[in-house]
Amino acid sequence: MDKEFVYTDEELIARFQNGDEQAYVELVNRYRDRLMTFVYRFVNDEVIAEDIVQDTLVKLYTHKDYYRNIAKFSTWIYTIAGNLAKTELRKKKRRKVTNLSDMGSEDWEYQIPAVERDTGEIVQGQFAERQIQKAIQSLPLHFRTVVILRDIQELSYEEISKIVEVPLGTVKSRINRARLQLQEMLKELR
Amino acid sequence: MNRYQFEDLISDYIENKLPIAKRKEFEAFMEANPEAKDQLESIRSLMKSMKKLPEVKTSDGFTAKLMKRVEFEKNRPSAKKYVTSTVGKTYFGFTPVYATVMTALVIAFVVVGMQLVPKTNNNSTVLPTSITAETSIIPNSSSPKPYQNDDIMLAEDNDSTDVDGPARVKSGQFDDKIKLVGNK
Repeated sequence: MDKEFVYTDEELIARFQNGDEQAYVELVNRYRDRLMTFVYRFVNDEVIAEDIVQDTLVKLYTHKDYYRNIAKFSTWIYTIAGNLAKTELRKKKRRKVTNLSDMGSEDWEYQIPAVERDTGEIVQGQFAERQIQKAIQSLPLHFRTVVILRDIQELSYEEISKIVEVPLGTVKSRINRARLQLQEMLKELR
Repeated sequence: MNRYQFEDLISDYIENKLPIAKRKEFEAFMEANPEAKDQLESIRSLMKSMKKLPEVKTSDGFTAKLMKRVEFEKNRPSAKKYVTSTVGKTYFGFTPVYATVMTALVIAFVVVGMQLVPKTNNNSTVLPTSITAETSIIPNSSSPKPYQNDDIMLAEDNDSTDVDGPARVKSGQFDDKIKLVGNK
């Protein structure tokens, strides 16, 4: 195993706090795509998502001393990214840009070209991905965050509870409700 | 178990977090309600699909752009640095600017206050001049009688508009009529 992968995230941030800039680069390499996936699934815009991930990682650099080794590093970095994403969505809402959340299910059907339905597994997979992504966008923010963190990012309930700062029971309940809503929206997909 | 209770337990069932008794109850409900079983399978399938969603990658120039921004942040005096530098140089809890303003205000207050306070006599009695003049003419049995210098008083009478004529009582003739608190 390469030596650089020996360190845990918490060890890397500790080294970075002590001035090791290489540790920062390693953390960036470990988290940039994970954060990108999380934020993209949240805001549904690759350009905006990438900007938010950039902001998150710049904050990691400028606010490194704010991290205390009482929580997992992943919890801390996801909290920063989640807060920035929510702020961006609020700004977007204020600008009154029409987004997919405003669309009804009939809008989704309209957007899918009929020819794509019968062009093999890849296209079906892409179609399913788009439908799921759109369904996720239709969820209220507090459901959206937890279901992405659980079912896409595969974080534990405990980590999610710390990230969103709500009790464990509430997290479980929200995830269950979010799944039920998604299932209801995606009934026709199966 | 009813439909709502069943829905509340779906995630726990899929993730094997139900106690055995509850699990059996859950499965019994599914056996009796095929649409409930469909719903469970549908959610299980959805969860699998979500796990399979591809990872979204950052663009090729992401790291280079990030490092540029980091370099910019390094060279920029951040707000945090500013706060810590100013907090370190305080005077009685005030920043230099506020300390200067506060000092100026205190000096201004003192100067204005001194202007408002009347001048005091040698005995440090703080009374207006008019009052001190009146008290000086209050006769005292042991002190000499006022207006003993008749020449001065006569000179004053000559300059005044004497409307009362001879009936006017001259100053100094009240000595036997006025009884002051101090007189015995």
